[in-house]
Amino acid sequence: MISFNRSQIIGAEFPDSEIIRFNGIQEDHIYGMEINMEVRIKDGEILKIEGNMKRYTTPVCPNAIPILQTAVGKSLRDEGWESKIMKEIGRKGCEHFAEIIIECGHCFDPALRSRDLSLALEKDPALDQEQYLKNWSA
Amino acid sequence: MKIDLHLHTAPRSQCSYIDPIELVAEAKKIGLDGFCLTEHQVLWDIEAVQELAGDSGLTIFRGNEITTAQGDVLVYGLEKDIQGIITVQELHQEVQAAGAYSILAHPFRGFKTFGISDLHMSVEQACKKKALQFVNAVEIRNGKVTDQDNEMAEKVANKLGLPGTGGSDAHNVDDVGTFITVFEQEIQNDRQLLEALHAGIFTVEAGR
Amino acid sequence: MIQRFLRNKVVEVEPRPDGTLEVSWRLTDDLLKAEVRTVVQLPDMEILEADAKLDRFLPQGGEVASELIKKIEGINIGGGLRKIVAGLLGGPDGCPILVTAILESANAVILHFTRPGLHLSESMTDPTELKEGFQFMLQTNPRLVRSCIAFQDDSPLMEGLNL
Repeated sequence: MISFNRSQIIGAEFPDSEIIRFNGIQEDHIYGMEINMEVRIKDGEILKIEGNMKRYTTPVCPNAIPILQTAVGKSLRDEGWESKIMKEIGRKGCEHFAEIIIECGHCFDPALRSRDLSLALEKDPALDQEQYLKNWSA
Repeated sequence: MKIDLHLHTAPRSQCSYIDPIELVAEAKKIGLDGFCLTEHQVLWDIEAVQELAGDSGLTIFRGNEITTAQGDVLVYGLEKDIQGIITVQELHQEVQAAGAYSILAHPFRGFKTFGISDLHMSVEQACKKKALQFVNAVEIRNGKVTDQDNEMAEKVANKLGLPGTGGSDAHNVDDVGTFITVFEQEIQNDRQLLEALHAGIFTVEAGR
Repeated sequence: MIQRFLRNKVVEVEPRPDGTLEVSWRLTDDLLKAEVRTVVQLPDMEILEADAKLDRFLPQGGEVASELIKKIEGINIGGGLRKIVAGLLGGPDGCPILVTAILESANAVILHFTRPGLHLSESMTDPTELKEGFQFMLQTNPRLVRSCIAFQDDSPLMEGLNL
């Protein structure tokens, strides 16, 4: 029997050519959390963030929601951004929120690549996808 | 002489919140005679340490906490800049070649939500930890682990006949000196600290 | 709004009859499919076996992932794991997706051990009893202190504790 199970789902939308909007959900036997955040594509800066806690372990946990605002202004392109997020949002707020933000960050380039590839495929369905992605740069 | 052998400061250790200047003030306040800066894979310059000590009356030593593939090891008297992940055997060779001294840090550290006791590990099983074969001593009192984790480290050190040391592993200034190592003699510098460690005449106590 | 990219990840822990834990970590998104399986031996939490399989458009290090992952065999889940895994599986010749997979698998093992204690705390309905329960945890585990907002100095759970 499975004794612990966690799922993480990260989606990315492009409301315009300058912004990427992430929706991240983390569900496991213990915690249930969600993050929505907007990031400026050109420099990776977090412009807007909100979080929701569905399942948590202490009555103090929801106080981590306002702490999320300290992520605004931080860039997913900065050196050491993951440890900064874990330190500022994780330790001072909630580690599980930090985990979702970090996974959104991991999806930043793949989401851009995926968008560009699908747009390129619309123009040229016979495109060599492997080669296209090899030549792709952010 | 009361020395905290295991401390981290910012920014040299990214995980620490301790300002070195605040550290000096706190160490004086709680009555330490000295402390050893053991950043993660970073060795302080001797000049920077002397400048930090200033006229505080404290003796500040330099060490290093090196992450090996088999766990964290505190080293004293090793000047070589070790980067990347090496095995504890490779580190042991470096330590021996330099005449340095190594201590297996928090060898049975548990996790935030459960400790080593929850794993039901026997002392005999714990003694088989590979890294124990390649260090001079074991940190039997670490300020960031549970009493059970420390007790296991002490039992293992006793069973294997390894000396035991104490250090706070402080990352916040309030945690400085939670555990310390007490030496009988006066120790003035890194070389003398190394000699005192090799001599093995020290005890461990709570420092605050 | 229609999503341009979607990533799904699952990690699950399954105790096996021989006393080991099998951890299955899987990722699928528009560009990548990855599976990492580890077997963890108790009580020392040594990673006995590790296998990886990456598919679709391979990321950095993807071609050698199944060999690279073997470097993690023999490592214990414990202190310094983040740095150890980054050192062994990351870097310019490494594979970042494997770093994530192993760290998340290790975290899942830790949460496997955490879950029973939380079930116990759920049986406490009296707020005073619950607070005392958390305070006992804090007093016996210094690593929990200031690890998140619930255990910062100004948290009501820290009231009266001098930690």
